Amino acid sequence: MAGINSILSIAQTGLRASQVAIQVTGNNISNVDTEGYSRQVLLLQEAISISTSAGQLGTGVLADSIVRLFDKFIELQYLDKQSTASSYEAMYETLQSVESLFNESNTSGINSALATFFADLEKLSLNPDDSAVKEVLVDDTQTLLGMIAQVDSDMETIQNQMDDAISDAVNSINELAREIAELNAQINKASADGSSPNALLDLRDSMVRELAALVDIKYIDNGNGDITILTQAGQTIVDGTTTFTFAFEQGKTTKQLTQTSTFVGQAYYDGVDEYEYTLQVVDAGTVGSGATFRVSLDGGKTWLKDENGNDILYAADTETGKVKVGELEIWFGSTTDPAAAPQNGSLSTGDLFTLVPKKGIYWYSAAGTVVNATPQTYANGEANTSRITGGALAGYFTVRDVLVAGYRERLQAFTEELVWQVNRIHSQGAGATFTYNQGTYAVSDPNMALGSNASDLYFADRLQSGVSSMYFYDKATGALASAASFGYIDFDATASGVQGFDPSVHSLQDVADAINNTFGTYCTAQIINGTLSITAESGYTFAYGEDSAGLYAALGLNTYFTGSTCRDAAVNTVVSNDTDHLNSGHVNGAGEINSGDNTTAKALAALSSTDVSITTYTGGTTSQTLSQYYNTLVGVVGSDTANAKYNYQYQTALAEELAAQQDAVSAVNLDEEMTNLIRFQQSYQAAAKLITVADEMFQTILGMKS
Amino acid sequence: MVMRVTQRGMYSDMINQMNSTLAQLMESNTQSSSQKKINKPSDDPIGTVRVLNGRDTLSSLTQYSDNITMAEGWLSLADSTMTSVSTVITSIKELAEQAATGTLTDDNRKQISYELRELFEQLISLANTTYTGSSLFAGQKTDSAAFTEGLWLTTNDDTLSDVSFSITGDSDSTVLVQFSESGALSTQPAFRYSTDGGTTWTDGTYSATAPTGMARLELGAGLYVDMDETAVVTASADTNDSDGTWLWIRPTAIYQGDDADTSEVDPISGSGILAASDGTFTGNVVVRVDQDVDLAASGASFSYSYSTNGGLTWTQGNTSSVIASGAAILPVPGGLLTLTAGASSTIAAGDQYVIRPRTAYIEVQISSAQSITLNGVGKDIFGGVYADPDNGGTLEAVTINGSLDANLFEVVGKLVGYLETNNQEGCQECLDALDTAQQTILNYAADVGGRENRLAAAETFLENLEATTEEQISNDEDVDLAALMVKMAQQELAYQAVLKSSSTIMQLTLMDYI
Repeated sequence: MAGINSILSIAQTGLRASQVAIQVTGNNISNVDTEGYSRQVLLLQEAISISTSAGQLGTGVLADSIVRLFDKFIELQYLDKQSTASSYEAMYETLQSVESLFNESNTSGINSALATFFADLEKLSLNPDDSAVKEVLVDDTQTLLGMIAQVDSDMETIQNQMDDAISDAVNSINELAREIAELNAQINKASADGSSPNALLDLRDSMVRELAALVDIKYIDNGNGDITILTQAGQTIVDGTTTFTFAFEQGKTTKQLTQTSTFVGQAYYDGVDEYEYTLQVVDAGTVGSGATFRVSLDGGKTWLKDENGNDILYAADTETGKVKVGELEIWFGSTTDPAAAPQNGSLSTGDLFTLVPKKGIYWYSAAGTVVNATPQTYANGEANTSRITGGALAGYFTVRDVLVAGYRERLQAFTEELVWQVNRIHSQGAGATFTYNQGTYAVSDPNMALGSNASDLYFADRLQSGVSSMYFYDKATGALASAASFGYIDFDATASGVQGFDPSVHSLQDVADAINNTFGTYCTAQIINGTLSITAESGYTFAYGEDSAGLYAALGLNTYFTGSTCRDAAVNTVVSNDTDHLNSGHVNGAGEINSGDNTTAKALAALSSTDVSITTYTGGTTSQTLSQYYNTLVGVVGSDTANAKYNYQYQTALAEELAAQQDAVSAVNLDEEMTNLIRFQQSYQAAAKLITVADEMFQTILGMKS
Repeated sequence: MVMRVTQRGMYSDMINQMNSTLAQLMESNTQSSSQKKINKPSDDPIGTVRVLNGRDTLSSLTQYSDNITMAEGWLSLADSTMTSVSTVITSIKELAEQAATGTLTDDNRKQISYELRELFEQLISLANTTYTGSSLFAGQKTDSAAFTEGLWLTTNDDTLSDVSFSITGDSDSTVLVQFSESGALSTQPAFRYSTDGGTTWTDGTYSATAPTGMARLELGAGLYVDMDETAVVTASADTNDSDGTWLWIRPTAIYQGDDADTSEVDPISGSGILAASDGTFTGNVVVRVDQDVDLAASGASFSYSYSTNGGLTWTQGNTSSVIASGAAILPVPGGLLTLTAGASSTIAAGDQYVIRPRTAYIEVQISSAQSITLNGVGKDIFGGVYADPDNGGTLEAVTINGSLDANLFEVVGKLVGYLETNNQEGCQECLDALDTAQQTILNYAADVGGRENRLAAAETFLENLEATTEEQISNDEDVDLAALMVKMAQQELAYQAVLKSSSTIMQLTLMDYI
């Protein structure tokens, strides 16, 4: 009886195994199109053998386990490549929009507006007193400025869109981390009995792929279905069932004091910038008297230098004496109140403060500390490896903080240089004379030397020592009022000769006083709202002359442009309201301003071929014409976009290659499954046949008795 | 090559391939519609920069071309004007020859004098030629006429050659004045005048309302002459006594335009150091002394820099030294700056002096490195009388290259005066002087011709440059249509092949056979 029973049980195992096999195959077939599905294979094992008189007899087959076919090593490589490819994808997609702002292949843009501007200036030099030409020049200038403002504004919009994309990505990361942790818990429970929860594993692997597309990860398998996911820089995202969060929030100021430092307080800033500012104390001392620091924009690798190559030292002071560094104003206050003085203001050499004047990514660790994980690029182009370096997040940050920020900086430098160069020439020219002229650039404190940081004059760094002259005319006759009604502004009437302007000494108040002392009979100079205004006495008019100090251009007197940034540069209303004040000529040696004089117009037109020196943090110092500078900017945008496109295509090709290899292992081939279906069907039929045979044998035995 | 092909892999492969061939085809499509290789900066970043730079160059070349056309207008008008002037001078010479021979009747003389006056007026109107409303010869005062007609005084008395005078009023003919008493004008010696060349005389009177220091001789019809009352005149015994003082009030042309004669050094107030400049400057020059200097220390050397663009860029490293006379000479582009000790002799490092020349020439750029002068200074060509601003508005006859004979308007004016008063000697003098004056005109005409030649050369060069630049831009930017068409045909073929092979594979399945 044992024999037939065992035949039956053997057949039973065969039936069961075939049934399971067909189910597994059926599962594979149904999931042939499922994204992230790894095919499963039934592992069959021989059942135990028992000893019989005839020898060891097998007891059939065991459906041992359902194994998921999945190559872990290929997957790790794929995740790495996918992060890189996603970061370039994010960059390329955004750069395409940026590129279209600078695309002049088939339309007109800033390049042609600038060329029109210079062409109009040449026309002005041909017809210096033609008011129609002047009107056209003012119009075309406004068109040019409008385009520059629009491009800058569009780039800012793109940066804001990056903020939104980053915020979404951070939320997704946190969400995915939570889900993976949950899955980990479920997988732990499900694999407690040794079986492999394939569907859950598939789900988790596809979530990990999503995560890798957002941020670069390191994947560690701890066994028993337990995994730990960290960023390449080392911040843990998920550890088994514990998650850590990332937040996209306003930057925090951190400080690293030396061991001997007794400083108690904090560094504060006003303003926004895309760089992280690292302040390192150079000269020890107290805040407000003697302590100085140097600044780095890339985490301490390179320090801001002046034109002689020496580190620029800034004075450490409280809020009343805050210094302008780049785009920020920086000062030191107490730990609780930025307006109060630090509790202990003595800084030691080597104390480090890091300011993050933008929104960045912060990682909240288990111990409660907050770590800055914002992607950062050093000045030499390398990425900071202690921060996030891959995935779409790195792409968004690179676009926002490095690429688009760099383009905006260059466009800003271009606009500023255009404004300054034109104003510098125009302010020394003359057209119609003035009875009243108001400067357009203001200082915050009229008693601080104009050349110092503290005066807040925008073009303060371009002032030099020099002399500035004015000419006063009789309103009725138009001739010079007298042989003494013109000359330099004398800053020291007591010393013999004429003392010129010295930016490190003279303040705006000094300038007003000097004008009143030198030309008091003919005009009055006053300070209104931090700007200088000059009013002629009744019966007189005035014009401006040679100005080797750049004083008029820096104060906004007799200038063509007002403003200094991409957004606020405009044609001076004095000129746009009355084009007679558009200076094409100058005051000549006989003190006259003649209608055929085209000296100033000619000098302005020559700007199109004059090399100017422009310095930016991202681009260094270059010396080329204004048009060439803008064209180079277009080339940089095109080159960055082409680079991003190339890298995106290259990395995506590599990632797809790896994905194909993974598919080769874990995806379903219908031909294979079809064949398996037939095979297992036949096995089932064969096993069923065995039962029939066993049954017939039993019948035969039973038939032996009656 | 993978060893195992799966449905998922197969379909994603096919989709990728179809996409990439289609994308290439679409790019060729874009190029063929815009006819350009570069449709966005990333297509060819370096090429984009070159194209943009090329467009900028082309724009400035177009502008130079316009400038040259404008300059050609000015200069060819100046050229033809000079030719006309020379012709007029030749006619005047003929008249002068006739007048100098002495075989003229009174009527003849009258006719010649009318003709001469006409020619004189013609000269003035030629000198006032305008081009598109701007005077050619008024310097930078292009909105006013270069010359107006006025009256001047010629005398045969050498002692009166430097006396100051001014004339108010008009006269259609030369007024001849003779004195019947000798003495200083302050004593009001009697005089008589004739407006018809000496035929009839009227006694003249002195006005009581003469300005201080001057004697006012009234010559009727609102015409009077103010003369320095210390001038001493000699009486003429009779109408033909050439030993007496004679005065001719005759026409001249007054120059109202601009001059480019001198340069000032500012400041004029503040007497520390006296500064003077010398030379021909094309624009303001700022000179900055870079070291402390004491002008009393002879031989001390120092360095200085200068700027020709208002302080934007400085040329440094020039040295000069104090010369024995307590002065220093600093050469700069265009001339010299001389510094002498005044109330003080010390110059501090950083002190600046501005050389401010008088400008009268209008220049336009005809290439990135060349400019050309469009106009001329009338008084240096035609002469006349001019009130230099430094002179406080007092008119003076213009000397050209130190000579009064080259002053066309003065010579012809004098000729009118002598002719109308039948002074043969005077006419002969003027005839000789007319040659010198004509030479000045011819010299200037040559100068204009030279400039026109420069323009022609610049224009040819510019045309070539424009053609070259356009070609360069086209090379970088434009697509080779033939090559593009072939490429498109190939890509179309490739796309079709991918579609066909993909569709064949997609239809094959094991289930058809089971």
